[in-house]
Amino acid sequence: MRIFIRLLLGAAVIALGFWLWTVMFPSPEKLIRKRIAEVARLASFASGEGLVKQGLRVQSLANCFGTQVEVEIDLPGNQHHELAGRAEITQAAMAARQSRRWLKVELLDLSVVLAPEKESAVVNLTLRVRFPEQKDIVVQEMKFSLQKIDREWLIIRMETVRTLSRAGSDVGFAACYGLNLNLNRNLNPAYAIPRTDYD
Amino acid sequence: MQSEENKPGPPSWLRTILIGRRPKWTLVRIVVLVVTCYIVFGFLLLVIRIEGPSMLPTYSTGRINVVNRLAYARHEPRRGDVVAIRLAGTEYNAHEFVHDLMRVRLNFDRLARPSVMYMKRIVGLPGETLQFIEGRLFVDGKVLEEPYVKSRYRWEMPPRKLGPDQYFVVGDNRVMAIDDHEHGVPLRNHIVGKVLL
Repeated sequence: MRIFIRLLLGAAVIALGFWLWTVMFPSPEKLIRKRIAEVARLASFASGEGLVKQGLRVQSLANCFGTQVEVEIDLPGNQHHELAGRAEITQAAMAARQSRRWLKVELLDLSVVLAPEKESAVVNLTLRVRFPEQKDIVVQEMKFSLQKIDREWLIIRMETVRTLSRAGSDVGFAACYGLNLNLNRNLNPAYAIPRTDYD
Repeated sequence: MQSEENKPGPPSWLRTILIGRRPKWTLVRIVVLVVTCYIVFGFLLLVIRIEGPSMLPTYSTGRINVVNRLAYARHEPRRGDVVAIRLAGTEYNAHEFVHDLMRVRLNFDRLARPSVMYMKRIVGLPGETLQFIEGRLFVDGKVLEEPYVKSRYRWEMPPRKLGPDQYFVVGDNRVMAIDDHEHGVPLRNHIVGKVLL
């Protein structure tokens, strides 16, 4: 009986140690998911947000991105938007706060693919945005590229992904090959992350 | 004064309602129910709420529907099928289910995956050539009768030949410009299943 209790206690101590280890040293995937959740939280805003709070939240949002971040967004209706650098992210976030009463941003269905060296990653996700003026919602598949810079996972590139490809396969297999190549690019971080130095 | 043992407990009818006449069997029934729900809603059916005007007038915003995930296990999608197409993410698969079982964990979050999907109608099958002329859809040069489309904008799309394993999907609501309407060819593995109701 005493041996059984000791074994049970030992197992409990090992489980506690494992749990503490995962809390103190979270896996890169956990950190990346936390970062993405933080971006969604900071990009959303409620009505009646004070100016100071607005500024702080926008600054925190900008800090989630690398200094030379690139954003490329294609939306239905031939809307193309490009942003480069944290300053433009900050401006866009402030402009959104001034033009809308509230905004709810959700980043859902994440699939994280880490590069073998675990210093960069590609995240495919679904962006869902709700606006106060529109009954409709914006839903868009997106690809985020992240890189570990000074122990922090920062977003260095954001781009839209076409879930429904409009490219016809007039050229038969060539289009299929292109589709597969795109898929590989989505899944293989080595394709997607530009090798840029972030000092 | 009444002793502890003689204190009246909850009425017998209340006990019967809460835990049944035979608590052991009630427990067994609860376990069976939970496992059945877990399997049915994890792998077979996905309950969805429709949002957006893309499938009007067939499906309107706010309606609840069900997606049959196994609809295409034995046959390929057919023309006219309304399907759910996932965007990002992966589906809850058998590998993850086994992993969860081994960790004695029922992960109810995963049952709702994918949480956002497109709902579209399959109009083009592999190998076919599709074209929109003045809002009419032509498949291999012949006009496709679409009784589910009630009003249409003059969509124009040059002929597009679908490759093997490619399906062309579009919504029923075609009152907007073609560029404002999400349509096209999804990856085959992004088709989650067939909308049932």
